[in-house]
Amino acid sequence: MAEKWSVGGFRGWLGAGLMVVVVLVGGAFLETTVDDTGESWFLHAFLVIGLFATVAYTLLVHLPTRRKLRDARALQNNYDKQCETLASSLDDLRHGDLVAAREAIDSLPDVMRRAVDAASRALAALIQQIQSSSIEVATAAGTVQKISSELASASSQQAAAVVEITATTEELARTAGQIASNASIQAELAAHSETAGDEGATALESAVSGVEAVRQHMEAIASRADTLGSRSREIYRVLDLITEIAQETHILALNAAIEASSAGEHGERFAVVADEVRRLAERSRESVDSVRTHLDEFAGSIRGVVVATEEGSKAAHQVLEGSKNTREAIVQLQSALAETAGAAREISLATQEQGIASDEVVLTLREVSEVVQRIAKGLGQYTGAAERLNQLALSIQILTQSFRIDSEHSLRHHLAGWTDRLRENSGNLEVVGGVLEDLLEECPYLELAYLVDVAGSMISFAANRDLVGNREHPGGAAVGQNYADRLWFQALSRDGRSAVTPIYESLLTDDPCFTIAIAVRDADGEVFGTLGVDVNLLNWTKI
Amino acid sequence: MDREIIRAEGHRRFVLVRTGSVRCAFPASDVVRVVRHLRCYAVPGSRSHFIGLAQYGGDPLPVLDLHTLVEGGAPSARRQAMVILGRGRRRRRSVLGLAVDEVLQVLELPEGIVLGPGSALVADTVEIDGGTVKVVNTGQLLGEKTEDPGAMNG
Repeated sequence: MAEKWSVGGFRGWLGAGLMVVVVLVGGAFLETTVDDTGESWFLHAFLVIGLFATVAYTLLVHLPTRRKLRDARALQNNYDKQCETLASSLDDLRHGDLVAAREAIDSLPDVMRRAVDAASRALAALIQQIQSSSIEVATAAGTVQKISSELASASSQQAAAVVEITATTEELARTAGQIASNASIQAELAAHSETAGDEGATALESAVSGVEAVRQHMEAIASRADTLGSRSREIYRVLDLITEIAQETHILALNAAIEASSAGEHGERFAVVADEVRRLAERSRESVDSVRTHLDEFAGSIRGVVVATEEGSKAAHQVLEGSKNTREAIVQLQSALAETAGAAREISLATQEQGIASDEVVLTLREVSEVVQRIAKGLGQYTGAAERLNQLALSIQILTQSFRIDSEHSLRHHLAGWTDRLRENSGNLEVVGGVLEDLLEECPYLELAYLVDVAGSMISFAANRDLVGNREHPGGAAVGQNYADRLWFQALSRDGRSAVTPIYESLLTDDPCFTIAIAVRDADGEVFGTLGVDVNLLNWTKI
Repeated sequence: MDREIIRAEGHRRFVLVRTGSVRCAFPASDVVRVVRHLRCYAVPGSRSHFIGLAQYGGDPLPVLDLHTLVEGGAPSARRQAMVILGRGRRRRRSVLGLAVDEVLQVLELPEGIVLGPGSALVADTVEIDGGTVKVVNTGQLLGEKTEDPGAMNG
């Protein structure tokens, strides 16, 4: 009603009012200009016609026009709402939230809804394709990097090996020269040795003759010693005979003494003689014993001489045998020396040729070394390029994570489900901590999960001990600590939806990682906190 | 020489022998002959000091082991010499042989040693050249009364 009588509403009735005014003004003008009654019908007709015209205008023009205006206004309102919905959806698209963009277009006309839905799906498919491609590129780049790194390492080793081979070959060439020189000297020595061998053979012949003469002398000595042994045995027999005679004489003297004793005084002198005879017999026996002792020593010496001459004869025989063997060995040595001299000359020639060939090999190896070093350098650059490609693919992968799509690979979409649980339990910090623990258990590639309020103060956090072990955050992650200066928080504050940081090195694991943060909203859609997770890149890419 | 020729008064001649480590002396008057060891034939059932019977001068001669007689123990068949004893009328007849290891010499010992059937086999012990010598009572061995009073002292 107020709108009805507002300026706009009054403007709607302006045409009808003007017509009434024109009719009334015209009637007044006619009333002033028509003086007689005969012309009053003209005034009445004018008024009636004006009234009819006004009514007709109102019924035929004004009211339909007002209905059309009302419909147009409703259409305008509807259009504004659709534009607002479309703008919201496009805003979601602008912020990469393709799921929200698709959820907000239910009120749009089918054509627009299908178009936006198709666009969102196409964009999501494109992002998924980019994700898949970036993963494949990262995997391929990693493989290429690994292979090229191995190749570079192998090439470096190969280059080093070639350098060593070159040095060895150079040494070999030098050694070949020395061998050639030594072989020449050896050939000369072999020739000298051949001559010396001839002289040695002659000297050996003389030595053999001398030893043979010694052996014959030894045999003669042995024969004579044997004769002496025989003579000694004869002497023993004579000594035995003398001993026996002495014993008989001794007994005879005793019996004479006994007889003299029985003869009384007449036998005294005889007894004396008998005793002297007994003494002589005893001295004879003692002399025989002395001679026997000396003869024993002499016989022992003779036996020693015999044994010594036998051993000397054996030694001379062995010397003769050894001399014969030595003579044969000298003959063989002379032959071997001749062959050695020939072989040494051949070795000298061969080693000279080997030295020349080695020089050529050294030149070739130097060229190979340069080529291998260039290959190693190129492979190093190739490795660097593959590493950069890998980093780029990971960056693309992380970039795609700034989009929320309905996919299990979309971290943002995955975390959005956890923000619902956080919102439901926002009043209970213990439950919030449990939710964060559950999040880490479900996503083993996350190092840390934390919830901060709108001012950046830590509300709760949880660490994945399977990844970080017992290491504590160097920055001292603690409830109440302010993280407003962190890039992800500032980006989220600007965006109001989510933020993904570039790759950085984790302070907990020293592995490459990145942080993704997403706003947590209450039931009224107001942001009351931020859910942040640190993603371990190595474990995430494995998954 | 003169000292050797002249027999000292109150001395008798003895034959000195060795058997094992023991030295013994016999009166020279009771010794018929000194010979090398004769072959002996053992007599079964005889005493331990009885070596056996030997043949000397065509007669059988009983042979005793002197060492077993004076010292005891088992007789030895390896004696090197034999002293043949005889006395009186049978002076020229041998009656008994004593097997010894060695006959050393004929020497003189002072009289006063009791020798006869009534005394022991070893009549006395004398000191010669720093060692003891057992004087054997041959009368005990021969088992005869002495016919020569001069052979007995007292």
